[in-house]
Amino acid sequence: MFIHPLFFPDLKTSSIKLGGHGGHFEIKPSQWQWTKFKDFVHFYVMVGAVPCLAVMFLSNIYVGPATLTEVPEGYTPQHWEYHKHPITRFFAKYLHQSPQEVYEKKMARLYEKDELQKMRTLTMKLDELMRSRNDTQVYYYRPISTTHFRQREEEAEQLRDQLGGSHAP
Amino acid sequence: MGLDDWESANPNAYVKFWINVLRTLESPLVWFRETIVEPNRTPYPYYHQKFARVPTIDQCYDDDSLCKFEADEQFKRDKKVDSAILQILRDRWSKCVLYQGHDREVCDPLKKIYHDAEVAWFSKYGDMGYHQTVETAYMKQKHRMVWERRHGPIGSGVNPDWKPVQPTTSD
Repeated sequence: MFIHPLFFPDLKTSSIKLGGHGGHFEIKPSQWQWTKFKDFVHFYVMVGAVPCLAVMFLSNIYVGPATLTEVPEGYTPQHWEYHKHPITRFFAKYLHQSPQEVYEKKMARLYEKDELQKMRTLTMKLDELMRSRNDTQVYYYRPISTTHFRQREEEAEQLRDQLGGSHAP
Repeated sequence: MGLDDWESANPNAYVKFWINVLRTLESPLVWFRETIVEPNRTPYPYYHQKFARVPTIDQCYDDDSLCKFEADEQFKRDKKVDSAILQILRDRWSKCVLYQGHDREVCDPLKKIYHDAEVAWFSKYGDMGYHQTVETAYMKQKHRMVWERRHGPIGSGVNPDWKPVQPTTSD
């Protein structure tokens, strides 16, 4: 690309090349952050604010608010149909959970916890009864190992066989 | 109150001048509304949500926590509705006072309606602190009924003739 001072009179790379008058390097504080900030403002306004404002404008002009109506007989409205504004309806439809769903989930969790709690109460009651009465072969009955008794019995048997008579144990 | 009302009231020249100024100012908006907005809209409905009534707390079994939960949720909804009704009655009265100025005695019927509703609201929801559940409300109602049996309607003060029942000792 042909760059000549004749075509670009403001372009000064070096004062030495252009003959050494004027166009000194000006010493001043950096404008970098300020320039960058303006770039960011421009960018995010274009990317964020302009589409948002466009959506708001168009939905308010071309869709507009809903009109309050009595619920028709035998019809159960969807949960977003309780809202008036189109953007609110959009959020309710695609971003939020149905309030009834949330309610029923909560009830299901509550039901589970309640059943657990009831089972725990019953277990504690059984436990207490078994501890106090101690008449069942369960938690509080300690089983005894009979291995050694049986060995002793066998040894005694052998001894009886070997000795016999009046020396038998 | 639109400009049509002013125009139909046979205004004088000064008011007519201002009506014309305002009509000129609002004409672009009217044009936009009538030619762009309204032909492009299709009306569509929205509804008020209606909740089915569930058993109240006095109908719930003691170990039925789901029934209690539903009764509690219904209590919260009912409280919202009752508070909104109270707000509407208060607004009616205060707007009347604002409009009537020195003739605020005109609003006395509205004031009485509001105060009666306020007393009823407070006897149901008042004095229970922030964390209210349907069970505290139920107990409060029970206590109020016991009190009313002893002393008469609430707000009337303690009945001086009332004596606590002494426990009877047998033989």
